[in-house]
Amino acid sequence: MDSKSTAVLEIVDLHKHFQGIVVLQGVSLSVRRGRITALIGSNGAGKSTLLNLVSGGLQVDRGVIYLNGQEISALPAFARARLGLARTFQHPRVFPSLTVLESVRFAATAPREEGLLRNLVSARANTEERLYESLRLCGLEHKSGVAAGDLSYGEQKLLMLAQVLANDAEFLCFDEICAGLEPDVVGLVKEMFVKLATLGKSILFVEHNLELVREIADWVVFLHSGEVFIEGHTTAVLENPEVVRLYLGQ
Amino acid sequence: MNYAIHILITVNIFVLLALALDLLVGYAGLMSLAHGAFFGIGAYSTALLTKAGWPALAAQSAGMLLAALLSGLIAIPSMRVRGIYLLIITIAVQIMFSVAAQNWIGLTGGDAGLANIPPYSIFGYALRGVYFLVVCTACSVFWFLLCRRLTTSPFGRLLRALRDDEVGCAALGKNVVAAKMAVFAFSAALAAFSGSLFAHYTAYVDPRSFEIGVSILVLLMVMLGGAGTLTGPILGAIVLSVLPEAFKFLPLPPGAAAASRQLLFGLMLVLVVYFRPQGLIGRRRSQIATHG
Repeated sequence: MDSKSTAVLEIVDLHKHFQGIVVLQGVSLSVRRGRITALIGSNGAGKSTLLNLVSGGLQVDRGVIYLNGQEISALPAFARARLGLARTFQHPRVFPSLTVLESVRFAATAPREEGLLRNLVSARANTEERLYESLRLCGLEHKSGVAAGDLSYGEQKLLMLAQVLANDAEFLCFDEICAGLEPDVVGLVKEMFVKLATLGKSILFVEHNLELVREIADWVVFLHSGEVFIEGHTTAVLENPEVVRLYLGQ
Repeated sequence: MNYAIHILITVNIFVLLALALDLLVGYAGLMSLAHGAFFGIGAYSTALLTKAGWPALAAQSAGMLLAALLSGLIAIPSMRVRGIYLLIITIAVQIMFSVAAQNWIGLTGGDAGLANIPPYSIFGYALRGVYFLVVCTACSVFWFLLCRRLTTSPFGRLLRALRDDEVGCAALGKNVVAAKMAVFAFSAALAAFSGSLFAHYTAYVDPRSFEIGVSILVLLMVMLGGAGTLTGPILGAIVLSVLPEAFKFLPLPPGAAAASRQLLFGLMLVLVVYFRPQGLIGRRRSQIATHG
């Protein structure tokens, strides 16, 4: 595989420890453009830590992360987001005092439009069409005037998703986005993943539901004890006897 | 008549201070008890520079610029801390200012203060009494409209999101540090603007006018009226400026009058905080979102 030419995200020899406990040791992987990549592994395997290192929520101890060929290992989270990386969190992180519509509008607004001096002089509105499209895709259009803090757990997760869509980022990270969602909403998310991939977006998602992984992922990375145990096409990894033994305990 | 003008000018000065603090506390969720210091920076800058022959507007602008720059003393630590820890930093800044004002005698005159500050003048016309009141009121209206424009703009939305979740903001590409520094600088500059008007009005400044008590009073104005509403803090400033004056007319027994007034004042604040924790005008978060 020529990962250099097609990889959106490239992780090389990543290490992370917390107070002496090694969480990730020498993780290397790449996410190819337009591909849906699943990150699976037992609790404590380092999946969320890896996502936090990629998005800038945590700083790496050792190793390098490239986004579209540019090293981002030392950049703050906001700078990585501006380079086209968007993420959702395992537990909903919404802005409780903003309405649903305001939240997606906030996500869609370019940082240069939010400067203090610029807004003293003039303020321009976002393209409303894209905002409503994001809400519609997430089934939240009828909640546009509701405070994000008043949404249910599942709706808040969908709002995070709508914000990512409105943000129009190229590389998307989802941390257990489907956990706690109703089955019909999970179906909605599945459709959305496929649609995003066909639009050329690259997705890296952490998921425990292996059926879901089997249905939507093109590529699977299995993390075990802070290392990449195996990666490959979905069926090959999920049916690997060692993966089954280590992950499912069978 | 002069008494009414005095009260109205005082109200305007506190309205400006309350607006400045509301941007920080109400919108960005950044607590500050240092606005007495920024108020003082504006006042001392005006006192020193106008006495040195600077035009009033130039001195006022210089004070605003200095306050905006010094606000970095708080904004930089605020990158790492917020809540009670940020509050402690702002208290430290406020105390540093008070100590400097008292002890840097060569510059500030120490406890004796600086007297004979010329009245506010525009194009050579000195403005006193009702004319100064008109200017102060116009300034209040101007700054209110400017703050409203800011808070309803994408910058205002960024501040509210910042108040809710900084990590979430950064994940969406928002530069949290730059936004905090900008709102601190703007707020400090507005407090300094108010301090400049105060210096011109009283013609005298000393450290007691800018102690932490002023910072607490302004915070009370914001919380009483309703943080994050702009109109609420204006009401808070009016109430807390006028009420102590009104209490002076209550038929209280001599000797106990001052203490009784303080007691009544405190009781009213407790009642308001108990029954209207969101402030007199403030609405609960869910109401704000649902109704606009």
